[in-house]
Amino acid sequence: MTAPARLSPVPTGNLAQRLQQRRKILWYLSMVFIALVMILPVYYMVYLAFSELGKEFVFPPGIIPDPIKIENVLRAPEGTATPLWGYAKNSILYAGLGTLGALVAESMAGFALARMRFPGRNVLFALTVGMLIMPFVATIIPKFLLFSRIGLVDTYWALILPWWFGGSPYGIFLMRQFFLTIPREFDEAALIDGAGPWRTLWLVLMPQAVPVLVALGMLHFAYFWNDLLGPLVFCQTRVCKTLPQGILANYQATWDPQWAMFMMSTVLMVAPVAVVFILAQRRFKQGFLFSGLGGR
Amino acid sequence: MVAYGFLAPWIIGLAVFYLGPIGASAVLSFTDYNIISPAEFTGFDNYEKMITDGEFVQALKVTLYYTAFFLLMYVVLSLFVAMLANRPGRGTGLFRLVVFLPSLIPLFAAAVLWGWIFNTDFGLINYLLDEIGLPRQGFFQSPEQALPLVGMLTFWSIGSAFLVYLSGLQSIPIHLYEAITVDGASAVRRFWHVTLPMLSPVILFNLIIGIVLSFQVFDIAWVLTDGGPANRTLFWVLLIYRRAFQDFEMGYASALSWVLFIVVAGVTGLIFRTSRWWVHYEGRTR
Repeated sequence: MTAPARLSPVPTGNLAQRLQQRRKILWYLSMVFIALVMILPVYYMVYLAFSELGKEFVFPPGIIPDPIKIENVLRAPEGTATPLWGYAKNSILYAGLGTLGALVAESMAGFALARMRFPGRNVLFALTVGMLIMPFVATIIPKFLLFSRIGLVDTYWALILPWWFGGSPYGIFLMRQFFLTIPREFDEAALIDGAGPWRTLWLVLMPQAVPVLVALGMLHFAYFWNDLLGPLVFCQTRVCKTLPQGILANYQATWDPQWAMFMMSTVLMVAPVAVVFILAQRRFKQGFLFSGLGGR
Repeated sequence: MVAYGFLAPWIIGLAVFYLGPIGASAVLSFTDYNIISPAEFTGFDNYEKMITDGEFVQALKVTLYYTAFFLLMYVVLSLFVAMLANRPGRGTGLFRLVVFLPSLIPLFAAAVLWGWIFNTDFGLINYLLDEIGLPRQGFFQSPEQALPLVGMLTFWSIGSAFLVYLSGLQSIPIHLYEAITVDGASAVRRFWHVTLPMLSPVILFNLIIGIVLSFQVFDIAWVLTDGGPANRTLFWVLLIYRRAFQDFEMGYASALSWVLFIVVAGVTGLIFRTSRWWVHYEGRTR
């Protein structure tokens, strides 16, 4: 792609057009190639999900499963050993309440760090940024010991509670950066109208933050939804095990792993998140772009 | 004073779920503690044990090897994929979606899927190798191939780095490219003199996040390889998990996780230190 360009840095006329053409073709080919590489495992997953039990791995595989078993959609949630509904409920609680609590806490902390002056602000901000690099696993043992002492292990609270206390350092940092982009005139106008900081945050600033909140919320939700290590450590009983644990348990429960059911379970688990993600990204493009820039 | 009210949850969280535990695991790392009987102070025993523990040395090697692979995918290759997606043209919207899609699949499910595709006896890849007359491979069952394969598969999880790069690329002012193109610069020069410096803060961000992520690799080993074959995929976090929650050696596991924290903090700290030499902040003098 670059070699011909170097021969003649400023190509003119016909040659320039031909080079342009060749680059464009090369560019398209690379895109198609990478797209195929990326989509193939996803396609194979969906393929297996709609395959007939026991016939998932008939070689050579066709382009589409034969026969296509639509009823897998209904069968998979019933589970091959235990139904998935209970696990799904736990996952929804973990991801839903975790996301909600994190967003509230992150907005509050981000607001204070962006708008208020108080002793210790710089230290607190530096600590927050420093915690960005804290590996989750580095704190997991003391957290486990603490939670088991106060009886929170094997309840949802062990998973959710930490996120209600400040959320993630990344979220706080992101919300602070976002609030810094909103002109202070908004706060001042609210102050003149008699609003305190609490009402300023919720009624004036938060409505403007919706795109960023959606993007950050999606990020949190997807993390909680797919999390395996957290539930593995904190939830060992049926009352709080989550979908990843449930799907894996079903998969390991029988001598024959029932691939089609496993794949359908994961497809059903991913699909809602993927759909919401795609729709949200269209609708709140700016928020997603900003979240990407959160690291700058 | 109101500020502390807004920050109260985070200040409590910081103390109880971050600084407290890190301090506590430092203390625990000097003890022998199995939850049932009270902790016993043993000085540097756990750290001495680490040096002689073959499994720890193996986990360290394996994790560093994986990190190198992961960073190559997450920081380097994802940049090129993002540059492809950044050119205006038909189909780029779909392309972005397709690149991001695999990142939404939970790692445990991806692990099972890859395990099947690369299954030694019944897998798709070995079937295809048979068809074209090439020898079958051991893949996840082969001590030589398992770790490089796990490393290569991280290509499918570049989604978030890709999105970050994409937004970074879109914020590079067009006039910089126009200026350098008028001067007759080739695509390579444009990349080195405009794209890379303008993107360097974003590269720094992806590098740091990538390091924190890759040191915590766990799911694929837990689900698929169980650290094998011959401990070739015994990742650091898997070792911590086993020692802490299967053997209940809380003291030793704390030492392991404390060293993990120190290593991650050290490496990212070093990168921050060097970043003033290679990260270019627009509108700021060095």
